[in-house]
Amino acid sequence: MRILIVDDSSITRRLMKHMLRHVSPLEVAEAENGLQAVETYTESRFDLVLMDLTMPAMNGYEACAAIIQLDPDAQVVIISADVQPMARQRCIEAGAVTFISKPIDRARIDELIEDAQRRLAC
Amino acid sequence: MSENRVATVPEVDGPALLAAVVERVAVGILVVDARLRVRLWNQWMSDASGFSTERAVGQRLDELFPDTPLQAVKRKVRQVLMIGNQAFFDARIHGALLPLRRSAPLQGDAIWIQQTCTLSRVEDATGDQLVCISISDETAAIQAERERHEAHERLKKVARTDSLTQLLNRPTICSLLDDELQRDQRTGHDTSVLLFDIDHFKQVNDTHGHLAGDAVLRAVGEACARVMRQTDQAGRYGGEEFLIVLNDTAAPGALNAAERVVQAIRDTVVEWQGDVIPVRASVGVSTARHGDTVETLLARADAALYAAKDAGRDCVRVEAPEAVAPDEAGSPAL
Amino acid sequence: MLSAEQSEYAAELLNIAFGQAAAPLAALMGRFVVLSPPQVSSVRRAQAVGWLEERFGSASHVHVVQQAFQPDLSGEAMLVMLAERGAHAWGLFADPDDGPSDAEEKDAALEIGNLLVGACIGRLAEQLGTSVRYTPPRLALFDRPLQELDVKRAPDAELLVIHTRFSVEGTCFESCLFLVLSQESMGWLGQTLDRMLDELFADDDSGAEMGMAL
Repeated sequence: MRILIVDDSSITRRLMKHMLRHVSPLEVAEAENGLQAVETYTESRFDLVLMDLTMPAMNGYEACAAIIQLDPDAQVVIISADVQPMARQRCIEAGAVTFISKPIDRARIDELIEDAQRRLAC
Repeated sequence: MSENRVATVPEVDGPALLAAVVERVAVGILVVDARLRVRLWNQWMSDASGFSTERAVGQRLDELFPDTPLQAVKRKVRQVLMIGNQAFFDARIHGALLPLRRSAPLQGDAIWIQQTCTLSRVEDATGDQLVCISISDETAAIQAERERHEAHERLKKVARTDSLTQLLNRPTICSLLDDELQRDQRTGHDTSVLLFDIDHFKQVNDTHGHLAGDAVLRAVGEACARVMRQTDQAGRYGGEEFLIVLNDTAAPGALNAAERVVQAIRDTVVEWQGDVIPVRASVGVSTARHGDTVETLLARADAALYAAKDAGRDCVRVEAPEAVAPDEAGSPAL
Repeated sequence: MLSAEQSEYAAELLNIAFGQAAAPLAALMGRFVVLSPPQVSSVRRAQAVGWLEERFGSASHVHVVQQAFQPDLSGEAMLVMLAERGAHAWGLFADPDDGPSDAEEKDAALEIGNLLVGACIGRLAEQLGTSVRYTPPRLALFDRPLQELDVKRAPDAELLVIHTRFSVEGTCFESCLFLVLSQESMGWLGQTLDRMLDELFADDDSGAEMGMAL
C-alpha cells in the first residue's frame, strides 16, 4: 500500500509512520505542506493520503481539492483538531473521504487501513 | 479527568465535616444548574440575601431576585457548563451582582456587598453538570482603594493650590503659562497676562492686622473668580500679587478684562470688625509676542504694573508698544 | 530550556490545544470560530514592547489581561489584545440592544482573555495529563498605548510568545499571549514531554492502548 503523509510537524509524521509500521507491504512518502503534497501526488498516485489541515504555503482544504482535481478517485483523509461541524463540512466539500480528529486515535487509523485494503482487493 | 478532587480521609472526615465547613466559611457558596435553579446555598448566602437555605434551594435565581438583571450570570453559567473553564465576575466592574447586603450600623444602614465571583463546573452524585459559584465580599477593599485614590487627588490639588485664596499657586500658574506660550507657537493664538497687586496692602496689615489682610486677599481671590472666563486661569503670584492668564486673547481684549478686574476689586466690600476696608488694585497688561518666554512676558507686565502705580494706582496700564528696532539681542527682526 | 524535539512536540500539542478550543468557543457563541494556528517564539521580557510594536504597529492601543496558573504547569500569562478590534467584543457577549458601557467592554475583554488563556494553557495541560487552576483574570491595562506595558520587572526573563488570531465571523481579535513558566514547571514539562514521546513511540504499543497520541 502506498500512503502519503502530509503534516508540517515532523513529530506527527513520525508518529503516523509509527502507527502504520505493521502494514505490509507499505510504501510511505512525506510532505511538509500542501504544495509539496500536490507536487508529490503529481509524480505518482497513492492509495491513501493522510492530510493535516493547518499548514503553511497551502492548507489542507486547498491541497485536498487540488489532489481530487488531479485524481477524482484519490482517497484523502483530513486530520485536524478542529471538530466544528462547519470545519468537517468544508472537508467534505473539498473532496475528502473522511475526517479524523487529533489527538489521533490508533483505532481510527486501523479502520482506515482496513477499508483501504478492502478496496484495493476488489 | 476528574473534576471533583477533594482530598478527605473518608473514615475520619467525610460529608458531615465538609458540610460544616461550607456553612462556616466567610464566603458565599451556591450551586446552580443550567437553568439557574439553586441546588446549594450556604449560610453566608442566607445572611446576605435574607433567604434561608430551605427557602432558596429549588428556586431559580430569577425567582429569588425578580428585579435583578441576570443575563450576564446566565451567560457565564452557560459558558462554564459548555467549556468547563472557570469564569469570573470582578467586583470593580460589576459591583453588586446580586442584591446581597450586610448590616453596617456605623455607616447608618445596610450596605450592598460588592461581589467578586468565581464560577466552576462541578458534578453531582448522579453525574449532572452544575455550576458552583463562590462570592467574596470586596466592599471594604474597594472602599479603601477609592479613599486612597481620592486622598491622592486631594493631595495633587493641594500641591497646585494656594490655600488662602484657593487660586492656583505660583509654580502652577507659571507652568500653565509656559504651556500656553508653547501651544501658541503651534496654533498661532494669542495669550495675554494681567499682573496686579493690591494697593497699600502693607497699610491694611499695619492698620487692621494680618487677619484683615488675609480677608482682603481672599476677597480679591473671589473677585477674580467672578470676573474670569472659563478659559482663563488665575493664580496668586506673590504676597499681594496676582496673575491672570488670558487664553486666546489679544491686547484689546486683555485691556477690557483688566478694566473689569479693577472694577470688580473696587466693588469688593471687606468688612472687618465694624470697619469697611477699601480694596483697590493696580494692573499691568502684556500680550505675548513671538519668541516670548514666561520671564520676558512677565517682565513687561511688571513694567506696566509699575507704570500703573506711578500713575496713582487703582488703574490699568498696558505694556510699552513693541519696539520696531533693528536686530536686538539676537531676536530676529520681524 | 527545551530541546529541539521537546519544543517541536510542545508546539504540536499547542496546535492541537488551539484546534480543540475552537469548537466549544463556537458552540458558546453560536457562530463559526477560527483560532489561527499559534505561532510560537520566545523573547526577553525587556524586548516585548518592541516585538509587539513590529506586529501591532507602534500607535496601537491594547487591553492586557493577566492571569496566573498552577500546579504542575505553573506560571503567569499575559494576554495582549489589540483594542480597536476589541471595541466590538461586547457585541459578541452582550445583548445587542444594550449600548456598550465601559463596564461591559471591560468585562468582555476580561472574558476573552480568560477564554483564550484557558484554551491555551488549559488544553495544553490536558494533553500533558494535568489540570491547572487559575487566579481570577486581572485587567492590567484597558485601551492604553502599547508602550505602557509593564516590562520593568524581571527584564531578562525569557518569555514564550504565542501569537494567534481569534476570528468570529469577520470580527478578528489579534492577540499575543506571553507566558512565563516557573523553573520547576519547565523541568516538569521537559520530563513529561519526554515520557509522552517515549510512550507514543514504544514498540509494544502501550501508548496506543492509553489512547494517548498526537
